[in-house]
Amino acid sequence: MPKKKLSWVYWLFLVICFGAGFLITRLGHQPRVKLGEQYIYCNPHAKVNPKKTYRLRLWDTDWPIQQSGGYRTYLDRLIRDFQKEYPNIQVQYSLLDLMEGPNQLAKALKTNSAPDVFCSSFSIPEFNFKRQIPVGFYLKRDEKEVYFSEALKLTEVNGVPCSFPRWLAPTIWIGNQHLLKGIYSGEPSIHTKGYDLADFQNMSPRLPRDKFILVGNIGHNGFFTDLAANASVMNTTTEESGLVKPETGNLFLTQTGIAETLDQLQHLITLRRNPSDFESNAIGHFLKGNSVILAGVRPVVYRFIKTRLAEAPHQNICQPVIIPSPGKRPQKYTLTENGVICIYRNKNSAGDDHIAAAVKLGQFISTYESTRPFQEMMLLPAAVKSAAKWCQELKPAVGDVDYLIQLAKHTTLLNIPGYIKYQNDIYPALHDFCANKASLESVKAKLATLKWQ
Amino acid sequence: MKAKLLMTVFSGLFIATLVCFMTQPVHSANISHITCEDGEQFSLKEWDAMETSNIAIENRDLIVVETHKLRLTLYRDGKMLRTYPVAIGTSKTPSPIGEWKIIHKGGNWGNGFGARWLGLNVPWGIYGIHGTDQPSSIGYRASHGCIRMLNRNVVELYDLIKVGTPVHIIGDLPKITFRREMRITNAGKDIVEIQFALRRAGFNPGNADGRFGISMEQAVYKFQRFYGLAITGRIGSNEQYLLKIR
Repeated sequence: MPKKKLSWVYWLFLVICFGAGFLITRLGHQPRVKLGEQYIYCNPHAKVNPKKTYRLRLWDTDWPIQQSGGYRTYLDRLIRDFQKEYPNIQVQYSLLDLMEGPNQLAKALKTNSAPDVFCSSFSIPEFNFKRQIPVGFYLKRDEKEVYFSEALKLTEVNGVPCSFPRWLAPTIWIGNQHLLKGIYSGEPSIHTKGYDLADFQNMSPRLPRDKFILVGNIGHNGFFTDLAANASVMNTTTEESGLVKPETGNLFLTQTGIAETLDQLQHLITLRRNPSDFESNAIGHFLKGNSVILAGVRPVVYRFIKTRLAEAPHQNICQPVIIPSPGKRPQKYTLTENGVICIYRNKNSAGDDHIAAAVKLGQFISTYESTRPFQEMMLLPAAVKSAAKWCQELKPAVGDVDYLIQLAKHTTLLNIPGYIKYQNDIYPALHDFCANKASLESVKAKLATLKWQ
Repeated sequence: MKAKLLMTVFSGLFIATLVCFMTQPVHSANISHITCEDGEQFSLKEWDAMETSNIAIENRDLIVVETHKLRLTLYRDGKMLRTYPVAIGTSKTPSPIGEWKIIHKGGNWGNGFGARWLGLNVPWGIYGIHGTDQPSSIGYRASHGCIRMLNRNVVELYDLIKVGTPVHIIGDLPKITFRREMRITNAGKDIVEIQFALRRAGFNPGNADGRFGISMEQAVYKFQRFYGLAITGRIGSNEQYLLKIR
């Protein structure tokens, strides 16, 4: 019997079936990780191929530092050190504007031309499910332990660290030990026993008439938010106050906490009238020894005050010391701003090993031991070892900086993002209230409209 | 048909007249005379007539006046092209330290100003680079703040540069008292000092020209963000302390 000739349709059908089968198998086996409800295609087990050359793009911030040849010199050295470990990974970097960096990244993400590694400044980019690599899947347990656990938690999305923590800028309270000694009749022990704003009722008679209790910053990461965050847990448990929002892991302040804080401040204002320039001239008032506390400032301000007083003659009327925020307990929450390092997939990402190389670079930067620029900017490194070195090198010039490490280790860190609404609507009302120009009711009404999240 | 044509012609003429009227150069101020810091008066009409090139061009030139050395140097593409001796302001009437621009060029303004006048955009007075009828004052602190040159030198410089050329007057900033608060649209000597201080701190406010403009406001925003201050875009006491000018 003669063999029947197979038609071309049969062959085409066979090829299509083969192709479809191949694609289905390939897609089915593509390595991916699950973040919340979504899958992200990446391979945390991929390794850097030592025989292959990688070209990575790094975006960092053009930090305004003066010493040690500027930030560019620091970054050059960092990359040189990285290449000693990974000679086949080439790094091309760009330094972005302090404020414009996040916008440039957002634009680049739209066109799939984001850098492989992005070091954020004060604004943390939102997690981009389409392009960002959740680095937590790439880190082993001991690699995670390199960082302050709270700093790592700040980078979590659905319980997974999604970027490398780099630095922390906690909001701090600075006390004038000279005045505190007078109030407490001796060495103040507020670090151990804690204190409350209500304590000032007792202190007030012992405080000279021309002195103020509190001056400082009431911006979104200033003393008001700090007080409200800590007040929320003062009388209620975490669960009761609803401080933790379980579905996202985000933290927010409660209306009870806010109301409580306003009442405390009201009490304070009645005790001792704040100067109208309590915020705009806070540093001046504190330096001149006019105020017991300078609240809600960054450590860089503390460093400035210490340096300034070392040169100035009125050192004895102002002896700055970092103190906890008020509360009859060990401080629970610390407001902080943090810098992170994000890894992105882009149109030039060639394979999973390329992503692995970017992860290695991000990890190297976040744990780099030399912290010179961060000493100048008083940004606490998020890696424990680097932080210890940072502290050791800063201590002779600045003093009690190890307290910042205590805050990072023993308190819950909160990064409450700034809101345009806060700045436009709440801030003026709060400012007038603290300057004794607006009533408690009017501020409460304004604050009720804000969702602190 | 004729009426239509006439209508078209008339409308065309009307529009052309309107356009001409609208695009006529208008004087920035309705004043006929201005008084220079040196006390001399000159008329704006004369100035307009003498104008040769008031259109800013892409600039490769930079004029640097070093008040310590009493010298003016013209750089082109970063290389020194000419250098001249000058007279600058006295200690009571100092020359304005800052980064200015030539905003107008004028010819012979008569007695006191010598052969040529190159006006600067200093916001708190009228200052310029000009010639002199007292050549013996060159090399001294003798003027009311203007930069005096020998006539032959100023004529040469006049021909070499265009309007828009930057002029950097370098020297010690005079001791001044600062306003408690400075904000956008403010101008003055204290703003120049803040601009230099912002630059020293690593926040570029643009030219140190004594004007609180948009680029300076942006620099202030960055500064406040960096130090964790309330972001107001204004320079208050805290900012002055942190900029180390208080």
